[in-house]
Amino acid sequence: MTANRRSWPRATAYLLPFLVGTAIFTVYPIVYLLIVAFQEDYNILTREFSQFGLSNFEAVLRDPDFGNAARNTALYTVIVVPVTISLGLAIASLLARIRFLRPFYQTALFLPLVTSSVAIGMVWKYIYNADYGLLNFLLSTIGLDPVNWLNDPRWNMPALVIFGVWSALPFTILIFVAALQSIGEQYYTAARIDGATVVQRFFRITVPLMGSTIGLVAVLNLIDSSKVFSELFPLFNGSPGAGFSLYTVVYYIYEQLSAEWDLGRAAAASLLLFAAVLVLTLLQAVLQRTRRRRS
Amino acid sequence: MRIEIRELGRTFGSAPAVEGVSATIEDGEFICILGPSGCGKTTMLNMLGGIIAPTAGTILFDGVDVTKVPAEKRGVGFVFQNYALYPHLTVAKNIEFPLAIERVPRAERRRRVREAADLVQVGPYLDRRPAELSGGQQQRVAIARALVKNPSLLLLDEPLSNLDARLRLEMRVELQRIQREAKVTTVFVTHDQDEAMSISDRTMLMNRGRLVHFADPQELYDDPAELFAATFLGNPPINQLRGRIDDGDLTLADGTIVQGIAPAGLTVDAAIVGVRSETVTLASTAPRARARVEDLQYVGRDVYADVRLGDARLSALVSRREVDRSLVGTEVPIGFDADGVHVFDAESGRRIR
Ligand SMILES: Nc1ncnc2c1ncn2[C@@H]1O[C@H](COP(=O)(O)OP(=O)(O)OP(=O)(O)O)[C@@H](O)[C@H]1O
Ligand SMILES: [Mg+2]
Repeated sequence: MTANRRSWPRATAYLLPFLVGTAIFTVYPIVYLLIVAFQEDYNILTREFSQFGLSNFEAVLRDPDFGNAARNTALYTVIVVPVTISLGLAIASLLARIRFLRPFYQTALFLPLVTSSVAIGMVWKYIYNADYGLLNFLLSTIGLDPVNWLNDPRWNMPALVIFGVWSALPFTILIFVAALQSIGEQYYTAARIDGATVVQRFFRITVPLMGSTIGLVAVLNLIDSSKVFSELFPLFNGSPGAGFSLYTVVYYIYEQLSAEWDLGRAAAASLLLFAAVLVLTLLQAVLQRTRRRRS
Repeated sequence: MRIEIRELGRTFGSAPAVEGVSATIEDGEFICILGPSGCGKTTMLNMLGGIIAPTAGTILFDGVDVTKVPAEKRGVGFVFQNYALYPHLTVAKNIEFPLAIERVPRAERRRRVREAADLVQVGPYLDRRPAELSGGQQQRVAIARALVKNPSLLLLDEPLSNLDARLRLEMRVELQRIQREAKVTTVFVTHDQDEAMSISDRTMLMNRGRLVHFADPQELYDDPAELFAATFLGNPPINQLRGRIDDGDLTLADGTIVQGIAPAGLTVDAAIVGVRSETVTLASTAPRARARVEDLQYVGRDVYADVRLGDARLSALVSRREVDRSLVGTEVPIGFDADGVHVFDAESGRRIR
């Protein structure tokens, strides 16, 4: 105990630069945002406001643009998260089996994380190109008509979803492979003896034993995809898609700031997004717990 | 189920783990696979269960070649050394697992889980998780899971090795009772000779991947096929006298002669004579040689005498009435009961007489 108490000042000294940085760049903006969201008629230049109230939230919730943004974001998230989880689990299960491929895919999976988004954007623009793109070429080989991925409002969302899944997969796969490798081989052997096929082993052994990892990855992907916005830059040069089909909540927040200079509304919209993600995260935790208690 | 094993072999890389094993197991028999660590017991069992594919030979179940049938389709019951109970399922769900896979109707499932649980006496723990059970309870759950599908072959890999001595004895009896009741052909792996002796109808003794001797445990002890079998079974280990046999007389390296230890007419250049300690007598009326008593060890109701015979040391099991401390340091006329004397070729280890 005494040793602990004596090392206090030193520990503080070591941590100070980090704590100061966190305070200035993380804590202060969050607190500021919390306050501003409730200040009515806030003036970004003079920092004056008329009174504390809920008018910012009211305005945001009544704004049809926000409604549209919320719908687009929800649609994107509802597709990207389950697709990423399922694909990630399937690919991870295959990769975990093929031992000699491990060094290769461990590198390959990190490539998207360390490659510049400009380069990635160029590649994807090529993939999505209506006339000579890879995707349309693949579609044509199975006899489907070409699609104008980037300029047809109906196909903007699918294009963004595919790109979103592609971006989220590497991280998801890495976590899943690690979790898969921690499941003892003996359970699979026992299940084989008990007559379980590959598919039955996957659903009766792998999935339940990975339950908490799947939940965690789902939440992380949920948080990430609910903030969908930066993906618009490499693919659509920062435009919210043809006909505003990709107008998302974060895009709305960004527009409130950059076009309307309305910090109050931007803050209120941010808090609403945060609340939605929080509710979903808690829901996931509750589901996890009841599922564990039930089985 | 009758099991025929023909020239079965398995190599890992270039090292053979099991080599040229042939044996036939009759329906309803209780077989032990016995041998030192690394001799290939688990590999044998896993090949019978279809978990490991053999690299040579064939396995027949009731005359049907199952060598290439995977574990999923063999329908055997398997109790793993570490039990491998599903950690996320309750005891009831663990036992039910094979039935759920088989899509057995729900009501029947419940009945059979009950029966299996009662058979191994884990009824009170059906709602617990494996982590909430003792080692002995987990093991019984593993047996229930293996039995619930009414397999025609039950395979067990050292299932009792994690238990304390008393529970081990209890479980042995229990296992025998279960096996008799279920009338299931059983193969049980152990490296404990007492376990093999007490539990099995016949024992496969293995060494370095080979099947050394397959017989009922008493025959294994009384009539060992190889020096390895003679040395592996028995406690204390069999005494070994090395030397040259001339017309039944053994000459040790230092020139000491043990007369008539082997049958008259037998001549072997390099022999190892194995002598069980209980067949040595220290006050023989027909002595083979004279030996010096170096020490007496009292172990409960038994007395073991450490005896020097030429350059060899022998351990002799003698009766308490026969000896007392004054014998230590004296020379005695030593004799052997012919039943417990085996002559082996020193080079190959094969039994000559
Ligand atoms: N998967 C494997 N890869 C390489 N070698 C193996 C493998 N499994 C077993 N072996 C080798 O095969 C031999 C026999 O192993 P096995 O597990 O059958 O022994 P065992 O008789 O069951 O021993 P123990 O009593 O220690 O369990 C050993 O030398 C072991 O090192
Ligand atoms: Mg083993």
